Amino acid sequence: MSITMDGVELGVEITEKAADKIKYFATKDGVTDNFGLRVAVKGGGCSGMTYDLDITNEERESDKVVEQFGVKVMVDKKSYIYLVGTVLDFSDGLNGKGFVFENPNAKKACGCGTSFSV
Amino acid sequence: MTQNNCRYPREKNLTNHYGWLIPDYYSDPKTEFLAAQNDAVIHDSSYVGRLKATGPDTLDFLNRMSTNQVINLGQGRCVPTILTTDRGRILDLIYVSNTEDNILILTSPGEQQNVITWLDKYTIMEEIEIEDITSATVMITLIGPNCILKLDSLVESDMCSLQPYSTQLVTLADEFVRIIKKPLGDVETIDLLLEPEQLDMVWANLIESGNFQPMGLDAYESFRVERAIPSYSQEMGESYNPLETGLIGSIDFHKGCYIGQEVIARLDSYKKIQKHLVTLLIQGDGQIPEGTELIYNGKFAGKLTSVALNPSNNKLVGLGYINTANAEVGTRFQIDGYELGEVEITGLPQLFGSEEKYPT
Repeated sequence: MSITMDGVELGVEITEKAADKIKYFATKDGVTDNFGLRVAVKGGGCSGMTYDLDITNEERESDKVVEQFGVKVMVDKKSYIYLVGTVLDFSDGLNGKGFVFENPNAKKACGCGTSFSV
Repeated sequence: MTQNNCRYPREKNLTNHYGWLIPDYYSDPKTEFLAAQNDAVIHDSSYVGRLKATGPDTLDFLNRMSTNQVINLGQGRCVPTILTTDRGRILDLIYVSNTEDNILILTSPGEQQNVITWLDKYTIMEEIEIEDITSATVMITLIGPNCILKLDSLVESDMCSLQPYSTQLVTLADEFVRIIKKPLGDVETIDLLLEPEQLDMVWANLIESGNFQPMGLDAYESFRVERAIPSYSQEMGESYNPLETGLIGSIDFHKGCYIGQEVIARLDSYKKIQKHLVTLLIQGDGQIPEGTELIYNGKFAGKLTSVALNPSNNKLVGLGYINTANAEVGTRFQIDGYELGEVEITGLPQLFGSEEKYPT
């Protein structure tokens, strides 16, 4: 399943709530100039692969970049195939889990949600 | 090169061990066994898998792929860690050493390509390259209570005060050699990693000047079983999880995620370990094959995984997996198919201790 915005296919869609939180963390880290969110997949972790989030202003040539709610979301070529169609939300409140990934490619995930397998 | 210090004293008793020609014995298994037990031996361990990993993400990646704390492994340090499957089963027990130039990984014999394939499967954007250097290098292992003292007398570096699980370069017989000091249970061992052209000179020097006794495969197997050192092909692999194999000391229960972590953490928390690796004393003839089932009160209770003759007392010793309910020292079992045979549990080994802390 692909997610598109204005006809552009998104690797990862972020919700407005997630975007607000990303902007909050960027400000807290003192990163205010042309920053973006890099969403990537690393090997290992309880289920085999791990989500990785990084607030950065470093864009790479092979990145798929789409701006959503004022945040530049960057996904590298290698991570893209594992993340395509993923929605990144933010769950807050007393029982909040923080950043939450809904990944249609994941067959299973670990209890904390940071690791998955395809 | 005399016959005494030659690596191949006799052409007849060489065994092809994982692609390496290793003598079955040099003098006789009993002499070699006793030397390992009481003094110091030198064993050609070139059959152990050796990998070289480079790239800035190596330790971080290995940390997410294995059971022990690897990410903070300092230069000159070594740590045993287990690559586990998503079901918490053993893919391999590896030793990770942080040298000045790269990360050295020792695997079980013959498993180096499986380890590379496994790590490669989960390499996505990490900057890491792994090279199999097994056939391009050789290895000697020094074993025994006096091995450190004897090596210390041959090199300038202080081997006696070197911490366990350390690695460094030393000069031996005018050759630069990498040593890895890593105990196995209560057995002192030091691995020497060499270029092939260094081997004969270093070997001869260790025997002539260091008075090390060469140890062949027969005595090594007996010693391994006696000291409860698990072998990949017999006591490890995907049929077992690390807690069953007595490898809890190589698991860090406080580190972040790794493959299989949830399963291993649950097994430990809820004490759901189904079976245990035990040491056994076997009463029976010498033909009891590995894989033989053990019976308790008429029911299946476990099986033998390794059988060896202790040449110092001519007693049969073994390793085996026994159901948790029956895994207590002193418990006796019948041997399936051997009416007059019996085994008794003599120990529940933990190769790295129950809560090892490794220097980082």
